[in-house]
Amino acid sequence: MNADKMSDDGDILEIATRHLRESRTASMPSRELIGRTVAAMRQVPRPKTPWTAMALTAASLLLIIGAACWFISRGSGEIAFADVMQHVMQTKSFQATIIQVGDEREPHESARLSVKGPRGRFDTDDGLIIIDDDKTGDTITLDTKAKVACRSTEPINGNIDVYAELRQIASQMPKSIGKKNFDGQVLNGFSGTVTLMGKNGGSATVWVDPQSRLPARIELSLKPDGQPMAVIDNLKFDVALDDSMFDMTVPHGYELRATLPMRAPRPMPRQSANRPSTAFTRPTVEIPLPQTPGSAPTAEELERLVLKPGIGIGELKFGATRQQIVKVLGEPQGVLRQGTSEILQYSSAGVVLAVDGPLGLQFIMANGPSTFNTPKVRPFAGSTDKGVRIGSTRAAIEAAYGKDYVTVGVRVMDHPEIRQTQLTYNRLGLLVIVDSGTDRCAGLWIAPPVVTKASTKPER
Amino acid sequence: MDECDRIVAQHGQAVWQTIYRLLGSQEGAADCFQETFFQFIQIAAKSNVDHSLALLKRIATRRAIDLIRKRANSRQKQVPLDEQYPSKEVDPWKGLAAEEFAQSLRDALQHIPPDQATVFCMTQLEQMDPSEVGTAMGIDTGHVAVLLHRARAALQGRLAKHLWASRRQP
Repeated sequence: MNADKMSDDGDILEIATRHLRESRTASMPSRELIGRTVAAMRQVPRPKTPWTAMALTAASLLLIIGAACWFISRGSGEIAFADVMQHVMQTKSFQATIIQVGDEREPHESARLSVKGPRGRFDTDDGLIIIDDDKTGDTITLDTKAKVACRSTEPINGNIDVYAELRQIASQMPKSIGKKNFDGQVLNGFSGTVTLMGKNGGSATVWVDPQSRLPARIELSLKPDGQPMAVIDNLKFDVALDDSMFDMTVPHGYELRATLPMRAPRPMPRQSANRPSTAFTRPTVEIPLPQTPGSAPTAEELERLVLKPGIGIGELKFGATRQQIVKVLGEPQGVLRQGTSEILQYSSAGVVLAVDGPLGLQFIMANGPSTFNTPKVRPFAGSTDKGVRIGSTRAAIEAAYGKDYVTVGVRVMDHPEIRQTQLTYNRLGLLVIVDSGTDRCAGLWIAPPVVTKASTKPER
Repeated sequence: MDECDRIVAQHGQAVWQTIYRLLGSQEGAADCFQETFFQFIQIAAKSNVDHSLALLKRIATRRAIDLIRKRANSRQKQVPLDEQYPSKEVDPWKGLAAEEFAQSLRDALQHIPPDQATVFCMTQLEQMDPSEVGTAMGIDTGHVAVLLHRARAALQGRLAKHLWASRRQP
């Protein structure tokens, strides 16, 4: 092949490449294709983050507490870092609720973390107990449902050097992000980058009680400004914890095995095989409802709070913007932000509205006194457009909305005595929580109705 | 809007263009599009994905090339490139329309190894940085350069066959 020919060969490849690169393309896939694609993607089961990973996150708690205190020292200048560190290191125990934030395909989970000296204990909301000893690296996991125990000498916390981590955090520049009201308690927020689960670039938002000068809530994200992957809430220090909580002997009646038995995935209000992409799902975050619910709604307010499944609440329709909501219901008494989503908490009225920035109002919860972990919220005093209210019997619910519902059993963390059932009316956009003991309505959640025309399987 | 919505909304157009460009028509593009995101979410479910778009383009490119290859295999008779685009021009490439050039390259891509074709498409058509391509394919940048070099050589050979066959025309 001579030089000219080589040149020609090269040219034609360049020419062909350019033409192919610049060839006409349809600018966008159709909306219908996008819908089918998203529906197909949602069918892919996503493995849950193992509790050991959650435990690892929790193991970072101490260092983040230290970081939080360091944030305070930088943010306010009122507390010397050395003093704070000394205070933290003198802390003997703490308890917290750890919420692993989920999404539409994987609901949130929560666990109670208890730490006393070198030992830690996780009580998960699906019946697992994990006790580990940071000093020896021993771990015992108890499946309270299957009555199976599993021992491990692999330390689930890894070899985290708290002081090294603190030095790393200290090299960052955490910033104050102002104050925020959490259920009536104003906390100071600080944000900074941390190493989480062995990955750099994570972020921690730490909310500090200005009275005790200790963190009350910590939000953890694997990415800066990313959605929280976990929230450490209800932090309480130096609580009295009995040593028996951290007993690592196999309890009587438990079978010791090398591995835990496989567990069926927990029931989710999710897409099933014939569910469309807009399936009626639980909200994505744990709602921190107030300990003091506030004043009762007036009769006028109740008129504005008629729940209309599939439509909205009062004159507000699904899709309403935040501004429209505030115009009708006033400013919320609490707000929880997650990405473009906001949870607007009208605690005195007993309703919580989930708003997604571009999509507007997406979800409304009206809770009763025993709905999930919100025992002290003021019960919703209003009703649906068909007269169903908190306390209505199942017969009354079925008389109003029929029996075309899907049922899911629900357990309530910290309240094992409460057994509830969700009646999900997908076509109506209504989910009714029924107390199994009384068979009466304990909560009413509404959303846009499920669209059923989309196929959920990829076309071949 | 959940994670799936966001991924498709953010990268759907780019993935669609990658697929459509390689296939040259809507035929099969919808399947490729769906399968690309489906495979992506399967991978994302098992491991962290730092460069979503790069991975999506890698999957989309590979899927589209596989489809081109399947189509070719399903033909009863494989028609040589120089028979597909005969030209009576002395200077044959001047006689080819842009789409014919593009189509000849599409067809040539099916005849080279998939990894080479993928690297060629990602670097030359998608104009992605070699390090980005390497990350998406799980290979180092040096390997990307080697694959690209081989791809170019192979494609030049394929296209040259067309060129010189055309030049022989009276």
